[in-house]
Formats: sequence, C-alpha cells, structure tokens
Amino acid sequence: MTPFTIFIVEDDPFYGEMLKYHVSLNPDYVVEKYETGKEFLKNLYKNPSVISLDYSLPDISGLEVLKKVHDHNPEIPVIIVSGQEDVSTAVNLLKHGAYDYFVKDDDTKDRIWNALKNIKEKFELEKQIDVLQTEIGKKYKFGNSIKGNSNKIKNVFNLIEKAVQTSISVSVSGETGTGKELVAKAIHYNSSRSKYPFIAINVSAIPSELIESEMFGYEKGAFTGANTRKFGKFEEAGKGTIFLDEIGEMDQNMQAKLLRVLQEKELTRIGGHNLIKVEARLIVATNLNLEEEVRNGNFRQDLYYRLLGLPIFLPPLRERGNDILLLAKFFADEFCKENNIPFKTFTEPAQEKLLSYSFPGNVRELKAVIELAVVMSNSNSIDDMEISFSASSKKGNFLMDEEDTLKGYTRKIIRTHLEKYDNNIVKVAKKLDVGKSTIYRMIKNNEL
Amino acid sequence: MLNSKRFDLGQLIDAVGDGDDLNKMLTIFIDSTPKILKGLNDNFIDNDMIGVAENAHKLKATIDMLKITELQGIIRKMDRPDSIIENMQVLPHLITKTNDVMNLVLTEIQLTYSL
Repeated sequence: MTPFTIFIVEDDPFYGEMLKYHVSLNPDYVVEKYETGKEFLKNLYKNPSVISLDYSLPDISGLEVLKKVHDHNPEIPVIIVSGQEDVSTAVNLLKHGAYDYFVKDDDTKDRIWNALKNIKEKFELEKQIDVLQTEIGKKYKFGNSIKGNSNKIKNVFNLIEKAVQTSISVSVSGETGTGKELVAKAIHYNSSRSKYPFIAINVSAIPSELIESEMFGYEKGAFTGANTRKFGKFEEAGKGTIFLDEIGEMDQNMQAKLLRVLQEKELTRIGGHNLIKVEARLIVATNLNLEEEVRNGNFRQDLYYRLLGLPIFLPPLRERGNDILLLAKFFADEFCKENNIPFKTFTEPAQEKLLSYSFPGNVRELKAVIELAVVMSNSNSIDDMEISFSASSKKGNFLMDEEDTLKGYTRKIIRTHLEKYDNNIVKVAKKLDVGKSTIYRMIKNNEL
Repeated sequence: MLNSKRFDLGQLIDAVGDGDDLNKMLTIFIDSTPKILKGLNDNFIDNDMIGVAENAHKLKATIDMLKITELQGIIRKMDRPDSIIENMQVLPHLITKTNDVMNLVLTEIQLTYSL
C-alpha cells in the first residue's frame, strides 16, 4: 500500500517541528520536514501525497514553489500556511491551484489536521476508483468481453481497434442480443477515455417528455418539480463516452435537439442560458435499419449522417459458425465458476443441436439456454436432451422471415451453412447432400 | 505548567502534551532560537536587510505560538524587506528588544524545565 506522505515546508524550525509532531500523531502519515524551498524541491521527486507550504520561505516565494509543484505534478494538493493575513495573497494562491490557505494562528494545526483528513479520504476514494476502473478495463478487454474466431467477428474486432485509436463517432447495429452495448464498452474501456465515465442511455426506455432533461439536464425552477439543478447525461459523461442505445426510437423533436448539440458541440440545460461544452464521445446503437428509417421519414437524414461515423455491424449468432460452441463453453464455464459447479463439456449431439439452431435472441439467448442446460445436466457433460429452446423461438424460422423464390431460399440455405461451417465446402455439401461442384459453381457465378 | 508574563506555553502543550514531548520541543526551541538571533544580528551588522527579514520571519511563528506578546508587533516590523525600509530609523532598537526578550524567555524556560 502506498504510504500517505506529507511534506512540511517551514522555515521556522521550532514551528515546523511542532507541526511535524502534531501531524505525526496519526500513525498512517509519513511526515518529512524541510526548512528551505531548495531542499524541498530537491526531494519533490518523491511525490508526496500532500504538501504543507509556508508562504514566505527564505530562498524562494510560496507562489514560485506552488508553480513548480504544479509543473511537476498538478495532482499534489498544496496547503499554504502563512503569517500574512492578506486576503489578496490568499485569493491569488487559490487561483493558482492551492488546495487551501491557512493563516498561522492558534487553530492552524487543527485546520491542517482536518484538511489532511479530508485529503486522505479523497486520496483513498480515488485509489478505490482506480482499482475499480482497472478491473472494469480488464473485463472489457477485447479477448475477455467479446469472444469469437469467425471471420465476421474478427472483422468486428478490426473495426473496434480502429474506433479505439480515434474519437470518431461509432454506430453499432445488429439484431437484439448481439452485444451492441458490449462493443460500446469495449471501445470506451480500451480507449484513452477509459478513465472518464461511460454513460449509457436506452432511448426507448425513457418517456419522450423526459428524455431532454435526462440528456441535457435542467436548472432549478425550469419547470414544476425542478427543485434543484440537475446535470444531464452529456455533462456527467464529461470527456468519457455517451452510449445512446435504440437511437432509432428517438422522436423527431428530440432528434432536432440532439443534432443541434452535436453540431455546436455545446448544450444548454433546460431553463438555463449558459453554454456547456460537450466533450464526450458518442456511440449509438440500433437494431433498426436506420437507412430505411430515413427513407421512411422516421429519422432525420442530417442526424443519420452525423451519427453514422464508423459503422460496426454485429453479425447475428447464426452467422458466426463455430463461435456458437466457443461461446457456449465460455458461458457454461462462467456459470459453473459462479455457482461452484464442476466444469462440464458438451456431447457431440449437444454441439450439433446448438449449431443447427437459429438463435433469434442471439448471444443473450445462447447464454440463457446454456445456463439452463448446466442446471439440468446431472453429469459432467451436457447432452442434447438438456438443451431446450424457448417455444416462441422455435416457431420462427429466419429463412422464411421474408418471402423469396426457391432459388433465393436455396442461396440463403447454402450461404448460412457456409458461414456456420467456416466456408468448408466439402462439409456443407455433405450436410446438405448436394454435390461440391454445385456450390463451387454458385460461388463462381456470384450467386452466393 | 509555567506561568509567565512573557510567554504562554498553552498552544504548545495543546499540540504535544505536557510530558516528555514538551521537553523535546522546548529543547528544539532552545537550540534553534540562538542561531536565528545570531543570524539576525550578523545580517544587521553586515547591512544585509534581506537576511534580517528572513531571520525575523523565522522567529515570527514561534513568537506567535508562544504568545510572546511584547514581540508580536516588533517582529512584524522587520519580517519583510519593505517593512524594514519603513522602520529603518528604529531598526537597531527593534533588534535589541528582540534579543533581550528572546534571551529572557530562553533563560526562563531553561531554568524552569532544567534544560
């Protein structure tokens, strides 16, 4: 654990000793005392947690020392202790970033004691936040959060890596349950913004009359019930990332307001006049076809182009071939670990069953199916009998979702199988009981 | 506790208690103060007014902490170069007074606490 180190810089040896004695009464503090600015600056490389600085040192002014400390590390709080009851000096030092300013009197040592207590509490909270942020960061590293070896998911990884390197807006699309929020978090926690907040808003979950105040905040008295000022999500995100899920559900009025904020890069709280700079990165997601929504007049074209940025399409699980098995194993292991159950394997028939299902609920559905299968299994392996799909899912057949010609259905079937079996033509031909040459011919003629 | 008209150890005792640590702190006072007074006198003789101000400043917090009321105003007349310029005429008197009072305080504390 990093010790909480306090540097006392005081030219009066007796007074400095008294301060050192008093502060050292807290066994959690490591205290070092210096009598000159030069001596102190020589030891600044030790990065103390706090500095108690006498304003009038013999060799260098307090303001100069403060500036040097800030140049070295602006995060170190500096408490100025001075014999001068001069308000303008105090104001000037506070303007230059001093943490506090105390005049030397009977209560100085107690004031310093309290200030140190507060700084230490803040210091510990910040350390906890750092630890938690590192943990979250680890959780959302690509390999830990998004699993898969299929070409389609590898393509997604490539796009995420591109998104991470810049601040470009990102639009994530894909069917429900494909992991759009996971992608947004992976981008945020692997980018330079990771130390700032990730704020997610599900546009469809907030009533349209509340969404503006939720996003942009409001001033006290802006409307009945606005008893205090409220910061909006854009402000909360600061230099972090704001994730707008189900953006396609946003009503036209709000679309216009959002467009203005994105164009101007500033917002005004409801009932307010001050312009607030918007610095957050924007990631949006939808399971609708936004282009089609634009064509149908439901979504503003200008906003669509502003949001599009780097588009990332998440493939449905049924098109990710063996990723289904990889994810199934991952979810099973995770569930077993959480519940102290011995790890389980999947039998051949169980794997076949998983691979032959269309997963309309995608990864989310797979997770639920696997967790249930682990619970139902009585041995060290999961058999096909223990895998059950929900009745509503079974009814749907994605191949038949849209009407097509026989030739069209044939194309869809072969394409889906090729994706499922990693473009292994021999295997697909065998599965569908057609000649390899048929598939080769269709590929050659660009029919697939 | 020592009751003296020249100084008050209340604040110091409040900070360190009245046991061994008080003796330790008073020893620091007895060791460091004569050196500062010597610096004050030497700088005055050498006509080094910045040095005078620096040494006066070093004594100010001690004088305030020990509530040496006789010197609280005096020390503020010479703890900055601009105050020294303002009080140049009476500076010899200010320095003499500071020496006299501080030496009396030192003696009184040494005798009382057998330091």
